[in-house]
Amino acid sequence: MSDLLSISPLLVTAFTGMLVMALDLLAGQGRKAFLSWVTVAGFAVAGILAYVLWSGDPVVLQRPFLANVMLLDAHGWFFSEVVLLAGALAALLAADHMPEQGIDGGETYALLSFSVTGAILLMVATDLVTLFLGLEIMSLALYVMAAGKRSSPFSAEAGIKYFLLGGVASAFLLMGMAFLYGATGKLNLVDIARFLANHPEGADPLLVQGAMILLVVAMAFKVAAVPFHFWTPDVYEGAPTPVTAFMAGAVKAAAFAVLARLVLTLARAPAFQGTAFSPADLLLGLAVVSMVVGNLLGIVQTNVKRILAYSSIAHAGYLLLGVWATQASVSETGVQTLNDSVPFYLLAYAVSTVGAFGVLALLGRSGEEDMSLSRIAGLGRRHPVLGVALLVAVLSLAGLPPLGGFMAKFNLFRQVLAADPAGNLPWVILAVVMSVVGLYYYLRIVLYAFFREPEGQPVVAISSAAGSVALAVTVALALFLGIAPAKFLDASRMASQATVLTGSIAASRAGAAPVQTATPPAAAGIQLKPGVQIPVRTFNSKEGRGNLH
Amino acid sequence: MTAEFVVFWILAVASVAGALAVVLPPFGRNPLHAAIALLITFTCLAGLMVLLSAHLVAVLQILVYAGAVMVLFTFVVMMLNLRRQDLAGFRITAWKVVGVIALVALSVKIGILLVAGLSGFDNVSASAPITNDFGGIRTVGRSLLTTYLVPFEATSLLLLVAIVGALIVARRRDGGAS
Repeated sequence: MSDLLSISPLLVTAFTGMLVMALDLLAGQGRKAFLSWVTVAGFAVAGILAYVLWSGDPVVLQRPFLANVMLLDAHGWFFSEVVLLAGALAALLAADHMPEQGIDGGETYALLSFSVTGAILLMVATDLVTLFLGLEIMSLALYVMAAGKRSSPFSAEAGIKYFLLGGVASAFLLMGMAFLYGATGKLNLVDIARFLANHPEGADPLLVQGAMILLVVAMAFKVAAVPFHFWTPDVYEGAPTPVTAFMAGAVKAAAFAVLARLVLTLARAPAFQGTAFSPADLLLGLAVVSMVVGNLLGIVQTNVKRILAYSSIAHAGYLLLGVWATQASVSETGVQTLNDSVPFYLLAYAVSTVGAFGVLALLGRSGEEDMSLSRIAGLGRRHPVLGVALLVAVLSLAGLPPLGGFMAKFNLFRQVLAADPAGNLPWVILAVVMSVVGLYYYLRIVLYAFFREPEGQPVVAISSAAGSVALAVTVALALFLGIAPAKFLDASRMASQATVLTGSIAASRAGAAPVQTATPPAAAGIQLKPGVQIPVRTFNSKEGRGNLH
Repeated sequence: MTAEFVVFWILAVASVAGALAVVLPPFGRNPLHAAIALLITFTCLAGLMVLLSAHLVAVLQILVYAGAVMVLFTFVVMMLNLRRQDLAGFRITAWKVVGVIALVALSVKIGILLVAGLSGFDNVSASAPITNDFGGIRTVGRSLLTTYLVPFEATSLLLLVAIVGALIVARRRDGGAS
């Protein structure tokens, strides 16, 4: 199979973005909605290609420059599908929301396509440079989309806030990668994992631990875990609602995929054995405060978008608990796969949260930004279809049966408990208690939507065929994930088994040329004839220093 | 104590001091002073790159950052046409105190890590020989177009997103193309 075909999902999404930009020039003012369908078509093609190509065994890439920087396996496949799904739904929601809010242009769809491309690159990357670039492409497009509504100061605030804090997170991530490179001299995660496993003395434990702290902090920013969550409510509220839906659904999935891959791959390093510091404690701490703070602060919110933002923080807490449980068992028993249900949870969360934000995206005429609870009062009576979609999405987020959110939460907590029945019980109890606390604000949304009379001017729904399709998909999927999850759970298991990179995965690159990353990056491209001795100097040898005198 | 060692510490201290001056008073209060402090940091970083034998990166650092980026910063500062009263006064708030404490704690932690980790760097770099034209245009170019082709191409996508984004954010509010 040719390499170009193997990476075609990436190419298709990038091409979709460029096509949208070109078509944007041809389309007349006010007739840009069809670009949404072009984007969806592009994502659908990419999704099908990813399913055909990546869902089985890891793809063997022939070219070393591809094989050294990416791994196309079930991990990348599953999370790419989640991101593509959330992206397609966001594009559909944007079709009528954006013109109504005075954002008439194709750039949203182009940026969305690029953001999805970045996210996919991020999830298939094994090379730290590629991984960082993927993250930046994804984030940079999102900063602009968040600030897309130029008539609104809130949107500008969201863009700036997200941009600045995202930049700080990137700085942490880069510093962590620099530590990792300093400790191992390698940029490829597979090589790093192998180096750490085979050279217990080679890598300085303190450097690896420092790298771990910095990487976890950076990714905690991206997944909106407490105490790195301060941007979340403001950005979710200020950004155009379809963009918020994408942010909550796709970015969380991508960030968690990378968090799990990085942390679990590094956590096996001998650097963490027998030391007081363990990455597990870090993850557990983040998980607990995220669950508690997210749910408690969600209660006092009166704006639906902000409630959903705190819900997003709380869900980050549950997911971190899932990653932590694997992590804790990795260091003790040597089990090496991610908690089976984390990918499934991310899918169910993406579907539910996109559904909830989707209903909000179809509410409100031009200039109406206020999405407070009192304004959606009576929604169920005036717009029964939207009301039902909101009901399904919110109850799925709350984790009530028979919806996808319940199945996800149930499986996640069960898996956490199974990892260590006695030790993990207090944390699972805490998570369940916090879910019940969270139920309060989810039910408050339902209460307002169905049982309260509107005060003053009620919010008006905009008619949107594309948006209705998107909502129908979310409702159907939320129900389907809850009632017949078997296939999805299987896929989730496959993805989670591929998440942790070990040295043995390198065997799947057998067809590739010898790994070149063992040498420093700048020197790697030099072709050597066998037997030819090239003059080399090292950083620390006497000769090396002498050259600089 | 080699000459390299002495030069390294001069450059390292100067670059960190320049970076601090960008955000801390008294320089940080005035955008133009902050920009000049940033220039010091950029120049010192270029010097550090030379010490690492990364000549091309050092030259690019001067050309792109100390040159182009700096000119851009200066232009933007000039165009903003700030007056003295536009610049907020310096007040000590609880958040700033917390921030300073956190910063000190983080710096100490990183310092400990770096000092303790020096042996770790030694282990790795001793095992990684570098070639004679390391850091030159030819080597960097080859490696960009062979080993690191994918990151190279990904960077072009990143730049495209940045250009599109800058155009969208900078466009006039009435929607007219200006």
